[in-house]
Amino acid sequence: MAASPYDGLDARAYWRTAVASRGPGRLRDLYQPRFAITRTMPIFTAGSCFAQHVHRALKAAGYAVVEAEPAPEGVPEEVAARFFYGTFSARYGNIYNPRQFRQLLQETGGTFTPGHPVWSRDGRFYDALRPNVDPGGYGSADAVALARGDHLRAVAGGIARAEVLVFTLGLTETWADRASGAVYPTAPGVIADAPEGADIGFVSLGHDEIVTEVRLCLAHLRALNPGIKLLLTVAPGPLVATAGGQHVLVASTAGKAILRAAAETLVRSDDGIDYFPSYEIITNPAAKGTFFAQNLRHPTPKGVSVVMKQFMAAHAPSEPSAPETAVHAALIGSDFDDDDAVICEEMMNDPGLATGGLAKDGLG
Amino acid sequence: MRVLILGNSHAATLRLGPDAMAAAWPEVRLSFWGLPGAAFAKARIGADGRLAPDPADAVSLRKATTWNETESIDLAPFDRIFLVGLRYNFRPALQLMRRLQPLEWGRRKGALGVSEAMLRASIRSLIDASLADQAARTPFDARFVAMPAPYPATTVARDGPLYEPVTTALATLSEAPQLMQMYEAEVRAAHDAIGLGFAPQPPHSVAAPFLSDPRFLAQADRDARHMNGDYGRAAFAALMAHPPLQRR
Repeated sequence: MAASPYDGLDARAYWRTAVASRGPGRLRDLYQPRFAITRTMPIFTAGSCFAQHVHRALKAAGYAVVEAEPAPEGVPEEVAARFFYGTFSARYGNIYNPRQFRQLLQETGGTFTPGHPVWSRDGRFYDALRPNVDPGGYGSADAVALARGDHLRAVAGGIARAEVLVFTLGLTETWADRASGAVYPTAPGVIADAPEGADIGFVSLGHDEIVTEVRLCLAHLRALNPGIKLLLTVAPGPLVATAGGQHVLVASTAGKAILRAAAETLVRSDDGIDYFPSYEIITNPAAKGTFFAQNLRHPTPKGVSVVMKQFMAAHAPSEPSAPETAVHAALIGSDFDDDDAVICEEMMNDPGLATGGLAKDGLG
Repeated sequence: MRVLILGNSHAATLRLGPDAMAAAWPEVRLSFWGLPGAAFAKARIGADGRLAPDPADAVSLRKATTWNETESIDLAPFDRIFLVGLRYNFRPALQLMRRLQPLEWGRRKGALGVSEAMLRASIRSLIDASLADQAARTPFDARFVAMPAPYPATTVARDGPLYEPVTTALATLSEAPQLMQMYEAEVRAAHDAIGLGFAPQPPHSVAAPFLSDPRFLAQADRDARHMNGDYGRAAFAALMAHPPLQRR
C-alpha cells in the first residue's frame, strides 16, 4: 500500500501534536521567517492598535526601531505616550488599513492630497488623518496644518531609513471622502466632526483592495529602498462595532478572514513579504480564549508576550535577548495595567465604551 | 489663631519683620519651621506624626536645630499652614517652554512645534509630580496654602555674576508673557485639582515674565533669588488673604 502524503511529516504538521497536545504558550516552529530581521536593521512600524505592542516589544528587545518623531526631551513619559510619541515609528496614530498607509506615503511625496484634512469640535481643530494623536486638538486649523507638515517630513525621513516595515492589518471597515478618496481612522462624529458638506461615507475594503493597497505601499517603499522587506501581521482582536449592518461577530470574522487571506496572497506572490502569525497565536483554540481579556477582544499581556516570544525565538534564537521582564513590561505598561498599554480610538465606535474622549484598548 | 510658616529658605523670608506682622495681625500666633531647600525636600512626617528632617542626613539634622526652635514639629495644633517656596519642577518646565512652541502661536526659530495642549499637559505633569512628592512628605489638608518660590530677579538677565542664560533665554522670548500665563494657570489648576490652597507670588513683585523686581532682593549684589522683608510681608499678607478652604 502506498504511503499517504501525510505520513511521516514533522510534528508541526499535525494538529494533535502541534496544537492540541501543547499548551497555548508552548507552540513550536509556528513561524519560519523568509528573511532575517536583525537587531541592527532599521524597522519601521505601523498599523492598527495591536502594532503598538509590536513596536514597544521590538524596542524593548533592542531592535533598531525607527522613531522619526521622538518625544521632545523633557516631556514626561505619560504625556508623551498620551500624545502618541514612541507608539509607532512616527506620530500617525493607528493606521487601520493599508489604504490609509498608502495615502500617507503618497502624501509625504506630494502625490496625494486628502480632502477635508481638518475636522473640528467645540472650537477645537483636529488632524482628520490622526485625530487622536493630539487629544483635545489644536486651537486653530492653521496649527493643524503646520503640525501635519512637520509630521509628513518626519515620516518621509523615517521611512527612507527603513530596511523592514512591520505592518499590522487591523480593519477592513473605514470611512472615506468620496471626492478625494481619503480614508480616515475614525468616522465623523467619533472624535471630531467633518466640515459641513463633506461627503464621507462607509467603505468596506475587500481582499483585492487590501492586496492592491499593500502592493502600492511596497512599490512606494521600494522606490526609496529596493531591498526593503515587509512583515505583515493581522491584529487578533475582533471589531468593536460594525457599521455594515451585519452582526458584529459575522462582520468581524469576515474582516479578519479578508485580511488574513490578503496577507497570504501577498506572501505567496512576493518574496519580499512575510507573515507573522500573531493572529493565530492569540486566537489559537488551545488557549481557550485565555489570551483575550474579559471583553473577549483585548489581548492579554500574557498573550502578547507569547506572540513576541515567538518572534524573538525565530529571529534571534542565539542572540542574547533583553530580559524577559523588560519586554513584558514594555508590552503591557510599567504597572502591568493593560488598560493603559494601548490607545485605540476604535473603542469610541461603541458609545458604551467611549467615555472621556480617549479610549484605550489593545487591539484593532 | 495659630499659623505655621513652613518651607525652605524662601519661607524664611516671611520671618523678617515679625513686629510689623504682629501689629497687622494681632490675633495670629506665628510659628516657623523650615530647612534649606535640599534638606526640606527630604523632610517628611514620620510615624509619630511629626515633621522631621531626614535622620540619615547630618546636614539636615544640624540645620533643623539651627533654623528652628525644635528639630521636628507637630503640625496638629496649627489652624493654618503656609507652605512656602515650592518650585513645581520649574527648571524642567522652563526648559520645555524654551524648547517647545505651541503651533497655535506660530513658529519660533529653534523651537519644536507642538500643540498648545501638549505643552500644557507636559508642564502640568511636572507640576503634579512635584506636588505629589511634597504631599507624600507632608500630606495636605484644608489648613494648607501653598506659595511658590519667587521668580529670580531681573538681574539674572543682565551681564554680570548673577547672569543665568537659561532663565534669560526664556524670559526674553517674545512669547514669554503668554508662556508665563500658561505656566501660572497650570500651577493654579494643579492646586485646585487636589484641593490645595494657592497664593501666587505677590504680583507687584513680578517685574517681567518669569522675573522678579530686584527692589525686593535681600542682597541684590550677591543673590538674585532670595527676597527681603518687604517681600516677606507682602507674601504673608497674600497668604493670610487666601480664604481657608475649610475651617477646622
